[in-house]
Amino acid sequence: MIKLTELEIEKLHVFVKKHYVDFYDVELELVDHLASSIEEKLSNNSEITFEDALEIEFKKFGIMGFSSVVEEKTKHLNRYYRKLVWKAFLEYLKPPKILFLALLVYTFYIVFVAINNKELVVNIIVILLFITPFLLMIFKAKKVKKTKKETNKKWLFDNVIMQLGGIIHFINIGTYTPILFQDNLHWSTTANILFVGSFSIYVMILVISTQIVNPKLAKQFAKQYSDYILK
Amino acid sequence: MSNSKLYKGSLITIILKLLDESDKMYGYEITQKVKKITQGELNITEGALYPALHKLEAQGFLDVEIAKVENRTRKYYKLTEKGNKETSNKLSELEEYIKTMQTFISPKFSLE
Repeated sequence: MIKLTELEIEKLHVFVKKHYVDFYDVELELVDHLASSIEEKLSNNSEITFEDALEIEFKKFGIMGFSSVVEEKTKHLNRYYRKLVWKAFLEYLKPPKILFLALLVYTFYIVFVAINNKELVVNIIVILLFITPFLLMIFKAKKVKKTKKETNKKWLFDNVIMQLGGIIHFINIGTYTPILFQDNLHWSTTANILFVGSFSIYVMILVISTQIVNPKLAKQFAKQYSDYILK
Repeated sequence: MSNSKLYKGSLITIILKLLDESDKMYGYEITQKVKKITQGELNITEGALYPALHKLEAQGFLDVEIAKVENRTRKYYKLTEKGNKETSNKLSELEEYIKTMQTFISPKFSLE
């Protein structure tokens, strides 16, 4: 069986990167696949060159090339991320955690109801909620950039973690601000409950994503990929 | 996946069954094993295999092991406990399907 040289493997890395695979974890698998299939081709046919074999094997990925592999993997990882968040969320709805949660939400409700100038408080809270995920994303993006600069590697799961499995778009409170910034809001009991309830769910999702799921996933991936450095 | 659209629906079951029979496998190995078992009748395309593997991994049916093999890195897949159960479910589902289809293809005639 013919074995590919280090230089040829390097050529495959360059080839995969050139075909829009930004992420090292995906790149590794594709390089190994191409290398294995090319080795087999070269062993069975002495006439064929490395370049020809590569072209034949790449064509097998279809007209979309590697992009559909990356796209599908991102989709599945995002789904996995959201499933973890949902699971952790449900955990908070069971005793004993729910008792602690209920106490926190109730305290917030009592304090909120007692506030006279609600519009100001609501506006401040909404602004804070708008800024927080945004800041977290910038912070994580900087880390990803730093890793890329130091190790020349970008990981797909880092990207998934950065966007909280797509949740970041959902919790972009900016979308909802026009509703909240309305004048003459009548703070009925229903409105109070709605605001406190939505606020609590929002904070819970944010905390669960960033404090529970993100570190858990990062650890899981670091265990799989020895090249991945936990930061 | 080539040949027939009928095979497409069974891709996940095929992958799970193969992993069930061996300790761990990598993507290319799966394509070759399928080719060998079916004597070239069935060809899993790369564009279908990897999304299926990544889906099973995200669903918690597969565990991943990364190993240095010669001059490159290889990603191995193996069944998790949840994956073992899913394999049994998928196989019995497929058996049921085959049985049902059989009744259409070769119906049993009765004299009654």
